[in-house]
Amino acid sequence: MWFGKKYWLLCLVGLSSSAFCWGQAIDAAARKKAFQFIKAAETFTYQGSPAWVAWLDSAQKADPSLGQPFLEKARVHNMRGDFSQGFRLLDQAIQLDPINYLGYQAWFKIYYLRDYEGGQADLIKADALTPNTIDYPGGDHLYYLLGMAEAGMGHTDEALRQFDRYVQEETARRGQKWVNVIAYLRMAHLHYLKGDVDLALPLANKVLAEHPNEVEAHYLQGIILLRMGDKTAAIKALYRALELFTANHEADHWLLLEEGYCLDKETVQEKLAQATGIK
Amino acid sequence: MKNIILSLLLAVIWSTGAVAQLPQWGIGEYPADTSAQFRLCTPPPHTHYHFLPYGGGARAIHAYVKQRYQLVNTDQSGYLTVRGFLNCRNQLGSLRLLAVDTQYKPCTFDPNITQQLLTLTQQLTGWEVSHYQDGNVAEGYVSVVYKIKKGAVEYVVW
Repeated sequence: MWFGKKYWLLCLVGLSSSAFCWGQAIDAAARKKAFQFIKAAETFTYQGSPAWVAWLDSAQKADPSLGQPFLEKARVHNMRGDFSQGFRLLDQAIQLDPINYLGYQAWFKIYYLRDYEGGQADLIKADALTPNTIDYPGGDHLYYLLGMAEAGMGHTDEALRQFDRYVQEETARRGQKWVNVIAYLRMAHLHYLKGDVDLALPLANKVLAEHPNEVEAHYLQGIILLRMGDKTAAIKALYRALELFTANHEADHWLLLEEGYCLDKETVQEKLAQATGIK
Repeated sequence: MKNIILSLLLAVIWSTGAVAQLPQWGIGEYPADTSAQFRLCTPPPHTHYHFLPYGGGARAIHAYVKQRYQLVNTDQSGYLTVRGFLNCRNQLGSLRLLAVDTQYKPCTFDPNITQQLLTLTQQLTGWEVSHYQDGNVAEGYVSVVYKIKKGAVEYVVW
């Protein structure tokens, strides 16, 4: 009788395993097919064209549990400024794969839409989904993005805390060379806004020691020195920033300034005029 | 196989010019604007339309708009997209407006907001057109996204 029970139990386990493996095999095949359709969309068609959409529709049909086709379509709608459609599709991608796509949504809201509150809320949710892992939504460290969001909302102290947390964590885990230089620039600027020029200057100098052609770092160094009363050094730094602009070095670090736009040549010229007293 | 046939079919449709009526293509996904006399010099499908940047970027647009926009007394916030074509005669047309609230749901802004921003966008003259190798102007589409906060223009997103 005991052997009989064991026999049936083994059969049951065997059958369940086979069914499970079979199910997995179907999933893997469906996913492979879906990725082939996505690849075809990228290879043979223009992004956003009817043919491109048709390939992605096929990918969705092949594997309805895959979020990527929704994400690809969402990107196109969002870049067109058609946010109602874009976020509806992004929401569908997030429903299917929140770990991968919630962070991307946060990244998009912070960088492109200046929606710092929305981005921060998404980041906190995304972080809770992976408690033992540091996420890199859109390629940026989670704490770094939280710093960006806080800075955007005008929460200077909290932004500084998040950037500091980012620098510490990234340095401890991967080494200092992996720390994004923009974090130091943002910290320098936030200290400058608070009036803590003694804390701001070493950060700008630190960036320049490693990246001597960083336009924003020269600009920040200039305005910090100007506030410290060192006009000669300030003029030298601002002049160098202007020189780099003229030599086509880009100042493309978003969100560096209070207004949320990239640094431009006119702003540097304005500060230089203020420092020299020559209009 | 089905997709190959579908792609071939779409290629045929594209080559016959019917693509202008199909959704999802460039700007053509929005209802056609029939109110203006605007015409493209090279209508679809003879060209692929590119996004045209604005000289000085979003900051320059914001500076222009900030000087002229009259604050509207409302609690409305969200995003307003103004999108259209710039043709070879430097005319802006086929403009569409798309509005969402702060939850990214479709909404309707106060007409004083939409009308002002539509007019100001039409007045912008700094679009950076590119040229083909033969010297002809490459027409393209333009897009400005305004972030609205309580009736004011907080940012020009792009």
